[in-house]
Amino acid sequence: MTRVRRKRMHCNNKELHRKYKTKRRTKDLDQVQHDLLPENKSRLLNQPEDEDLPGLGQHYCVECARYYTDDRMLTEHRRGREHKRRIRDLKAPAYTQKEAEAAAGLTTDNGRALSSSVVGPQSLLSLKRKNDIEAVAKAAEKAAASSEITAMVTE
Amino acid sequence: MRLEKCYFCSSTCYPGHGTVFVRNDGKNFRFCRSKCHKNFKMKRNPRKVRWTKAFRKAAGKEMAIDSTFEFEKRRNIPVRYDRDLMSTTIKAMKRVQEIKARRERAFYKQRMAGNKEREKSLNIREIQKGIHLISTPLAANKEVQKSAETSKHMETD
Amino acid sequence: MASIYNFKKIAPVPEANDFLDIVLNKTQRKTPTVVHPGYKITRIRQFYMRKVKFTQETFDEKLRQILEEFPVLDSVHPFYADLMNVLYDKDHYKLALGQINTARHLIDSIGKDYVRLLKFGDSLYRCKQLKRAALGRMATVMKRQKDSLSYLEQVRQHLARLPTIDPNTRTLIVCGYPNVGKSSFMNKVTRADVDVQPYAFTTKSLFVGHMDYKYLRWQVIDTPGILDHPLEERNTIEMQSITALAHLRAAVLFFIDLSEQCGYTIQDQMSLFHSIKPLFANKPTLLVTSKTDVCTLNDVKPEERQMVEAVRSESIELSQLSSYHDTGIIETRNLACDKLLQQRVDMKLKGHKVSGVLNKINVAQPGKRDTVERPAFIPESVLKRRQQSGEDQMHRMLERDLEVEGGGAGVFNVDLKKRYVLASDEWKYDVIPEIIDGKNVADFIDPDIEEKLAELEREEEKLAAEGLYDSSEETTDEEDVRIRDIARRIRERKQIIAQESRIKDVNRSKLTTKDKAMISSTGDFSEHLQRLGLDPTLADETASRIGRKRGRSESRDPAVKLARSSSVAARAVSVIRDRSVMGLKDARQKLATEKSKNMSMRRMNRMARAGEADRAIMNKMPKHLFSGKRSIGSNDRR
Repeated sequence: MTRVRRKRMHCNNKELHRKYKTKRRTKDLDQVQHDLLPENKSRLLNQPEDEDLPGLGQHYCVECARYYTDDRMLTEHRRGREHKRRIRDLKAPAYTQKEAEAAAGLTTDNGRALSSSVVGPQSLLSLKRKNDIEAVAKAAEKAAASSEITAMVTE
Repeated sequence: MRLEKCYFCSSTCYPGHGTVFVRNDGKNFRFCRSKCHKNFKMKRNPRKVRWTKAFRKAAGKEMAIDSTFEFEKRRNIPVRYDRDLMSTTIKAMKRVQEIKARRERAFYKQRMAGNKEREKSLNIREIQKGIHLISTPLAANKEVQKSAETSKHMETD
Repeated sequence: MASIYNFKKIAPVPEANDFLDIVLNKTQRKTPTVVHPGYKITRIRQFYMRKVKFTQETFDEKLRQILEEFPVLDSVHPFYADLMNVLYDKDHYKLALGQINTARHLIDSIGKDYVRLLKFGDSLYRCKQLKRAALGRMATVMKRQKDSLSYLEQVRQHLARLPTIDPNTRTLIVCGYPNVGKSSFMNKVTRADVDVQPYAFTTKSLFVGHMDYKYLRWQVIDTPGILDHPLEERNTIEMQSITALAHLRAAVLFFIDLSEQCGYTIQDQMSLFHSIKPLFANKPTLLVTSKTDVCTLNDVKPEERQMVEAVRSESIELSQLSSYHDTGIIETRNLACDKLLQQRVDMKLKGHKVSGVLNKINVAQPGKRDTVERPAFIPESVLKRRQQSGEDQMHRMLERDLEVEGGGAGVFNVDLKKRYVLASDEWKYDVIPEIIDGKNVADFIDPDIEEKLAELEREEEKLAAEGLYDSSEETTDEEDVRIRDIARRIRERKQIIAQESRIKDVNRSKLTTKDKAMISSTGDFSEHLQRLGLDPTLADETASRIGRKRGRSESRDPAVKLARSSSVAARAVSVIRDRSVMGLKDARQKLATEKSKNMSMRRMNRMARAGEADRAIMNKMPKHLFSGKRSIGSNDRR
């Protein structure tokens, strides 16, 4: 058997390319979060035996949506870095189209309390005030330091 | 026909542009261009990618709370068509956009307010530390002397 | 019920060779095909075990299907069991199915054995051979079933062509000597198209026709003719009629030909009737004299007539018909059907089920509740319109009429907007913008937008008053520019230094040589000084003075030459001096120098590190080769 090259093969790495195909897309975080609900989780952990899955589909990591061949591999995986990172990622609520729209300034208003007067340009004003205070403070400092600076600069 | 928002970068998707990915559970993901689609396929989180609107808003790079945002809303209440309302709406749209742009510019200015000072102090530190790289102490001294002379000259004048 | 006895749905039984092809082909298609000797042995074993197991399962499934689909003689209706016995020989049939069953068991055990063996396969080759052996043995077992498979296929084909007779419904059976007009009657009564010919044994098997009587469905079975001889001597064709007569609960129409055109005397026919009479027990029976157009009961001899009429005493009805003249056919049919129906009803009344059914039957008749009239409701507006306008003007203008007026389908466009409910009718046909300046207009539509906008304007004024929009242009004075410029130059210089050091020491192991002087040549040195703003002339002079060329005799100063020559006398006696100790203080110092000399002379251990002579690529991706679009041609052309 020949050694498989591991370095400098990013461009013709078939697995890497397959990974990024939508055809074989793995579960997204929001789907996994749905899986983690107790009723779904118990179903996924007690699957019927399936010959086509690794380990007959008996050793499944719900968070990472992966099948393992045996319990040892599963526990090893659970101890690993990838699994822990995944758990950390899953703690935050999943990103949604709604969030994307909110970022673009498009939210939903179903006729509930109008908050236009409440919000106002508060943030803008407070920012300006803060800046003004800082500017005043700095101006004094600057006046003191400017003489030194000019001496320095002339060198 | 509607202008949709890109799932990844929150920019506008015009009709006939971009890609829609329909996941096998029936959820739609709309992308403005292949860049966003590729990033999605790489399972990146838009909240953590610096060039997306979601990041910029969350990190305070852009105005996030403002009364101008109260105008553009998905209102799920049907309103019967009214010609007057339509004309006022269109006028209001233009005006709101104008105000919004102005406020955004102001916001940017405020955000960048202290930068010049900061830059200057940095520059001065740089000079203090690295002046020897571009001139020897001897030459520097000469220059100092020269400048001192000229200044004296001017004083005597 | 009837569907149980439908033998048309049995799947074809392939021949032994085809059978093998089908199964092996399926194995090839449905199991993985790629295996390499480099795989883990468990994986290789798994691969071959799956193949063997899959083949065995496919065989099992196919054979089981055959066993399940073919009718089991013990569980089908006795009529069919007997019929199949007559047609295909019960023993042969059972034997064939039994053999298939044993073959199935054999293949199962072969599969199990070889899977067990494969668990100990220690190489791909061994595993492959085991798989081959397993499939080979299975194939041999299957090939031995060649005969039974082909027999079963024939049986299947014949079974599929058998008429679907439902043994439990209302049935009329037509029987009698050959050529007495049974099939003609059948053709008249039902829509079946049975072959009628003027010779005996035209009908060689059972035929079924259907008819309606009293809104019920009846089946009429035409049987082949029967001759009058003992049961043992009867052939297959006759036996079919006998089975039908024996097992079906039906009305029997026994046909006799009084004209004797069939070739048998009335006496013969009557003796046959009497000999098979036990089969008619408990069945409504009709003695039908056919071909009355040729000869009626009145035309025959008195003793024969008496013989025929004697059956009346045994509660058997007589009936006459002529298929040629269409007389008496319907009457005969009705008579037979009525008798059968009567008998069936009687039977049912005797059973237990009937009381349960009778209790449930109740015929309800709605009666008038009270004297109040309850006419149909017609809205006022409709009544009014009816009164106002005549019947012809009730017709409203419909979209359909508009379409016809507007040029018919395909030309006329339906106006969807005309029924809009808006504050003003003028607005109906307004063109409504959907998108303006990259925004959806629909998102902005809000009944109280004006108030909101007014509020926004007020806010705006407030903000302007706060001085948010003051354009405080920060002027940049000369001082700032100068500082920035110097800082820039310093940064650039730093960058260059960093780059140089990077080139000098790329992140790779390199042979460490003795420290090189920072400045290697005088030219470099002077350049460096110049850059620092110093005058390099002095340094240059010094350098050229020190680095003097080796003198040549012609160019040498003659005075010096002379001085040299004057020392010739002093050098006449040469002293041999040990150069190794020259300039050294003592023995200790000498030792130290010797040691360091040896060290320096020792060949340097390169430790497989890159030296000066090794190829080094400083810039792996030169910008000019890797930028820009590549639509045509390669990068190196640029």
